[in-house]
Amino acid sequence: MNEQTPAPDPTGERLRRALAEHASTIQPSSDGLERIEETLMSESRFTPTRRWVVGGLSAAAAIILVVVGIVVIGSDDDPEVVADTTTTTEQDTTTTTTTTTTEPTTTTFTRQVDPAEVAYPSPDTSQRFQSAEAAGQSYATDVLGFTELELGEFREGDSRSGELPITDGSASQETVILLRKMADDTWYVLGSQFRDITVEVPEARDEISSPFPTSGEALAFEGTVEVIVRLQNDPMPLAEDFVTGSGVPPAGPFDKEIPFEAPDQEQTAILVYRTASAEDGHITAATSFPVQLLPS
Amino acid sequence: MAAMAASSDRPTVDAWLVDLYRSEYAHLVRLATLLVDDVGEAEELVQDAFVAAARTRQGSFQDAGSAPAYLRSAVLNRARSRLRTRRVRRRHLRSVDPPPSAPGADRQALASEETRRMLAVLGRLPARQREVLVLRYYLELSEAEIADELGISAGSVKTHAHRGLAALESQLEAP
Repeated sequence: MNEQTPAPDPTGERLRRALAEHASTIQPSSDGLERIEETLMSESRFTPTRRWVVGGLSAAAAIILVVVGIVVIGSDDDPEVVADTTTTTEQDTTTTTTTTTTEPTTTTFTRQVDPAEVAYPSPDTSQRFQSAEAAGQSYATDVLGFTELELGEFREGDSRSGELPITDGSASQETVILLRKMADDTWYVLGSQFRDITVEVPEARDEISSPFPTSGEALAFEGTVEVIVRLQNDPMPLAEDFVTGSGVPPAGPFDKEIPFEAPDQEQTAILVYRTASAEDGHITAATSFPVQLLPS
Repeated sequence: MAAMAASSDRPTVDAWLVDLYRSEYAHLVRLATLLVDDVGEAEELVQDAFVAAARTRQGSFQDAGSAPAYLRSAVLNRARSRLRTRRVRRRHLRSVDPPPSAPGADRQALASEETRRMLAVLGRLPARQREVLVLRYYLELSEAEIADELGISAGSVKTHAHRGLAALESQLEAP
């Protein structure tokens, strides 16, 4: 399991022993199952009908007399689960309305992917990708801003995830786009990484408010890294700023506070840290990831 | 399919969930405690993960073996959210909150000096470094497994682990 642990690793060994020793002293309470049961019972009292969303329900809903519109909002803490065939999924927040007309007067909207878990495309839009390459290419051009793009060979991690290397045509600067096939069986971008732009603060999926502190290390042309803040479902930047690392090796630290136009409610956004060509200014590499923007 | 089955007037959790509880609960509480540094909070978030599993997932797991992996991801996500909430709160209430890594009385009493110091330093690391180190040295996950679990690249895992270990080493050596 731990084949990549460097040896010798004395600090790691000390940490391993400390974690094991501490874990052995932790005794969970004996009523955990009762509490779980109580929560489930409490929910069943407040939920007169089961809140299941069955695949194909939306099509059938148009012709049945009683239309049950179910608005589903996913929990950002629950991992995606993929079923073999028909997926039956219950979500955390459900509202139900009933009507007796033959026309579907309520909107059925099933969002299978939590926007906070991905960078692109927005699960709130209809844009979906059937291949990792297509998702990566669209992300590179539409989000990162690559105008000269060369796709590498997709490196599969497992059947549902992998990495797509891209360059601007020069082999020296490779950006790696991280991709995963989510519960709706289409491909999403989780973010991108460029070796010479390391962002330590904020981290992917952090909640940030304006202005947000950002720090890390960068090696870029004249040390300049452009920082873009944009909503996941809107290409218009909320902020365009820059940080300064080092223009010559090794990478130098950057630390800055960046203001942005705060949304009215919490929304998923993408932070893009990118560097450009010294020759004509085209984008050459980018590190990017999703964050949650908090309203001001 | 239902997470609960009627039994006279009082519904009970399904047998599969009981089995899952017996095999995973204590282990997950220990993992969560190492991440959020509080047994009570850890139990809450593990119970919450079990509730989510019971409500939604029995029929959706690809096979019985995927349920523990689902629970682990749910616990990690909840622990991360808990730490994130703490961090945001601290940013706004710097002078009010106690230091997050203050060791609890139980830890003071039970842990050896080496372990106590190690955990104190671990608690001061950035959340991602701490998460990577716990997954690597407590769960014994590989870099690839950690990367998949956290949705980051293997290179990023290596960087976080390296920096976390370096910080541990330097702070443990400090007088």
